[in-house]
Amino acid sequence: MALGGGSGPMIAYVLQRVLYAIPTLILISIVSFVLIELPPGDYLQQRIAELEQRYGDSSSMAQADQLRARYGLDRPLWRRYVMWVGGALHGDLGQSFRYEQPVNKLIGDRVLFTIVLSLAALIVSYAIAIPAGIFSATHRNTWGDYVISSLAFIGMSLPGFLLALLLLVVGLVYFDVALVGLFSPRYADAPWSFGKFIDLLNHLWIPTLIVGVNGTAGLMRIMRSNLLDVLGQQFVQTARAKGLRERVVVTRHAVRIAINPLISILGMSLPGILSGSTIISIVLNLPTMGPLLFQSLKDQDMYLAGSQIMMFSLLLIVGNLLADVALAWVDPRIRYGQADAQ
Amino acid sequence: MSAAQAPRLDPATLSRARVAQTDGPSDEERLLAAEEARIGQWRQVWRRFRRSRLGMTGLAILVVLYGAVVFAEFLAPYHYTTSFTEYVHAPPQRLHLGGAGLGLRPYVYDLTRGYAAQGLLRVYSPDTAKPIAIHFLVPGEPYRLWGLIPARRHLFGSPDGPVALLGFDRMGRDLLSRTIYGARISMTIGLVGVVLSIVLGAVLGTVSGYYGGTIDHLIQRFIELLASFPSIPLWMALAAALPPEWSSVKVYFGITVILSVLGWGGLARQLRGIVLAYREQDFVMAARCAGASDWHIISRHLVPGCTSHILVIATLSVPGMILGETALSFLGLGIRAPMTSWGVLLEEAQHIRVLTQYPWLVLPAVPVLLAVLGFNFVGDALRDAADPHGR
Amino acid sequence: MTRPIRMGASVPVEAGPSLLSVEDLRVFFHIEAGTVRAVDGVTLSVQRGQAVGLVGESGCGKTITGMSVLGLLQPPGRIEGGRILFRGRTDSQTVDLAGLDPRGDQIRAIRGAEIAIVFQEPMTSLNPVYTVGDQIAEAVLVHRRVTRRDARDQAVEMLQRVGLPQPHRIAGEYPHQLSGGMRQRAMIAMALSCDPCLLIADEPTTALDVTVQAQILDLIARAQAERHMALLLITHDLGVVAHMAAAIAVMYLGTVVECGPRNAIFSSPLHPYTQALLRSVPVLGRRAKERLSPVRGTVPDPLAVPAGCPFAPRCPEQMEVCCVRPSLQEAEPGHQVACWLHG
Repeated sequence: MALGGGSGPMIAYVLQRVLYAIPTLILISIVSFVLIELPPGDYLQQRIAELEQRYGDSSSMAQADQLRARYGLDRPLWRRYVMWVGGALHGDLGQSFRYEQPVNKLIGDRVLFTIVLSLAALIVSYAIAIPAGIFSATHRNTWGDYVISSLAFIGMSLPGFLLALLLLVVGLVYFDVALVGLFSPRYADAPWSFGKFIDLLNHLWIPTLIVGVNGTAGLMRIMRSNLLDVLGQQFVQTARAKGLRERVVVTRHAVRIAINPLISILGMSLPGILSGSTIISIVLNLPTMGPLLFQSLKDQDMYLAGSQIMMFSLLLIVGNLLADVALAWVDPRIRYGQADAQ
Repeated sequence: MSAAQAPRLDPATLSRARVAQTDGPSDEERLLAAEEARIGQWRQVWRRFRRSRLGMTGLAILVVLYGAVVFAEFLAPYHYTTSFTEYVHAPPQRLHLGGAGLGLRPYVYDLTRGYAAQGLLRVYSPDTAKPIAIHFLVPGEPYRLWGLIPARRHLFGSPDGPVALLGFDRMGRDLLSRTIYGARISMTIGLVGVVLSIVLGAVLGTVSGYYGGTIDHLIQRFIELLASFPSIPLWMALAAALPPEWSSVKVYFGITVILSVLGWGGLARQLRGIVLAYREQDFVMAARCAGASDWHIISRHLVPGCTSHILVIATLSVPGMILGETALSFLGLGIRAPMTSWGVLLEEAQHIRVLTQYPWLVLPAVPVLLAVLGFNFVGDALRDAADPHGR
Repeated sequence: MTRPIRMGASVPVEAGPSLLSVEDLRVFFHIEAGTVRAVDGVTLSVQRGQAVGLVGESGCGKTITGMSVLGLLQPPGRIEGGRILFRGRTDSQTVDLAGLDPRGDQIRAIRGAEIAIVFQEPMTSLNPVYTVGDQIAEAVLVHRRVTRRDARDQAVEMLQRVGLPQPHRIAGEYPHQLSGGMRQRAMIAMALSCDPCLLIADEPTTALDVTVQAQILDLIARAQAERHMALLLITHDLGVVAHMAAAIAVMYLGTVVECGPRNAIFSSPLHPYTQALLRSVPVLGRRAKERLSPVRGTVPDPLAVPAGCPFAPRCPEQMEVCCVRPSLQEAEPGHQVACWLHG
């Protein structure tokens, strides 16, 4: 069945959401910057102190002055913020103190892999949760339902990083496989090729499953309860009363409605997935932002850490925007301005 | 009584004279019954909760875990800093029942240390010549229950040698004792964090929903802002900002605040929705016509209606806090020594090499899993019990 | 009744076996707290082309009866006894609807094509994410082998026949864009799309404005006359029934306590419950000083229905014999009542 209505209201809706996002982004940049400046003392200041006190000779002093000028340590806070934002708009996110390279070069690839991992986890979790939830709801109180619901409960309660840890151990002890990283040593630094792509897929599925497991469980239970609610509604009876086959009634009428809340919470799954991927990447040492963020926080490498926080938020905002657009496309009531998506 | 159960009477034998009528319940009686039904609301909720098997299981789990929190000093055979240097990284001792000339008493074997791989690897083997009998309610290390009451009795232990049913860690400390003490931190951080979130979230959410307009708008935008930060990266950044010279206690409270920073937003938003729904109801208008102040309306009318929702949301938020603290401590950014929590214990299990050689170090993950399951079960059952019609 | 009384469409009743005959139907709900005997011995019949009203308070089981006919009961509800005999359009054979598999092909062939149903609340009865035209076309496509195009056209035509202006535009709209009355018309269009021989209308006007109610009832009456269609009208509103039905069955707590021609029921009700019902309705012209007399007492807990006549505890004429349940007996020609006062 076609979804009626034109694309006019849709475009207006997208524009409105984008406009809404801009002040949020500005506020986020401020918060990220504050986080950068929060810890008393950081790598840079230590370095400067070191140069001045430890070495004390003229070239070290000159270096210290240079560093100070470059990062505006002699300027007030708001000035530094403006400098940073100005640089960011040009694609320059500052310099990493520890690695002495521009931040955007360091995190460029990692942002990409973070997106890949998160997207994969999102798709997989929905792909598993929706059929499982439908099955569970239509076979309520049977053995299948109990098994699936129990698995869901356990999945929701298991901390992802522990699962990662356990799988690491199992892999090493029983299968002599190191489930670390996203590539085999052969492809790690090689340029992109089809073989590298396949290698990525081979390594990707385990972290994807681990990152997705929490979300899947929750989604499945929501799908189940939504579908049960919808199946009790009047229009489902109307559909049956028309003489439709039960399967058609469930998929075309009930699921079509029950799925809407799941799409609307697509946006809400994102923080969980980004968080989960962060810590699981640390355990499994994946080339995503997680391990680098961790390291940079320990090193107090401020621009590197702050930029990554900012990146995380950006991903979240863009993800939410896309999710809202998807929801509006799917549910005509949102498009036409009726906020109640029950 | 259904028609099938009534005795078969022959209508022909029964009289057809009109029977005197008794009045049904009067209006007064009905009002009293309604009043009683309202007071008994919590009792009804409890009764419905009791019917859920999962809910009662979860409750049992939580009772046990919080029992460990309260009676940690008594339940743990050793203090969490007590170390047995002879037993570094020793495996758990297997429990035996009966035999070795000890009658029915349970016992374990002492461990002798050996070396392998040219003296680089420690290997422990049970010494069958030295059984260590386990006594119950045995006097052991002196302690102060809750830091106040001096005592010496522990639930179990042995004067003959160390008993470590979960093995020893890298400093020769009993993992079981440390896990029991760890419960104190892990289980309470969740509660304190949630209470903070509730207070903040309830106040702001209610105000936001009740007043509407610009205040509502501002608060909502602020919540949205917070929601644009994924939790773990933000927690990591905030935790890393805690000054290194802070004591463990200060760090504990710092972590609690950090964990609740993100939590209150969701609660505020939910409460706002509920308040918005209630606000339009007639009884609020009636109260206002009677001259009640805004504060009175909020506290006396709206909040009691929301209490069950708040309770459910709170219960379901605790697992997130517990997992958050565990994750932070696991990474080394959370609770600091000498305090111990389950996350701190798991930090030792971080490295693959350590994990393959001393896998029992992962065992503190089990109470984490149980705690989260427990809260999820209870929260779910509570939600069904408090609102069986599912709004 | 605050509505001017008009004569409903009077269609001559055909002789011969009934189109639909419900015989001693029992529907029970087995829930955790016990068993609810929602329908406990319902017997009624509808002739071809006849309009029958099924009247009773909320919770008396009339909706469940209607749903059982089409096998639309949801667990934990189950038909536990009785028969629902349906003769069908072609008069060829009679089938017991109660014995059919609710998910099977046989009952699905009957739903929509031979027996259609219209529900009370049109907003919730239509799927909110599909257009009205699409939903009506779907009803057509289930039973007729036509192209999608044709089905769509038929949908538009049906919308016009139920009196909706600009049927093309309406066919492309979503349910939430229409008013309550328009939605109910669309529902009726959908129900009539395959030309059923029996329409079950469950409280079709209860959720509508008073001004719209009369229009909808007229629409149903007209459709009935045009198509020689039978009507089972389920409602608690005596005014609606007086307007529309040729015969009335009165239900209380899951059983039919009285049934007969409309005029007989209204002018000479025999069962104390029917009498109480009629007394409790406000009537134009009664003196303002007279108080309304509601039916005494309250409906008992459905889990604890008393043995014997279900109305006995509230009945002003209660006798000792009423602890045995009376069955429907013919008190006058065509007028049956289940009461020890009359048999």
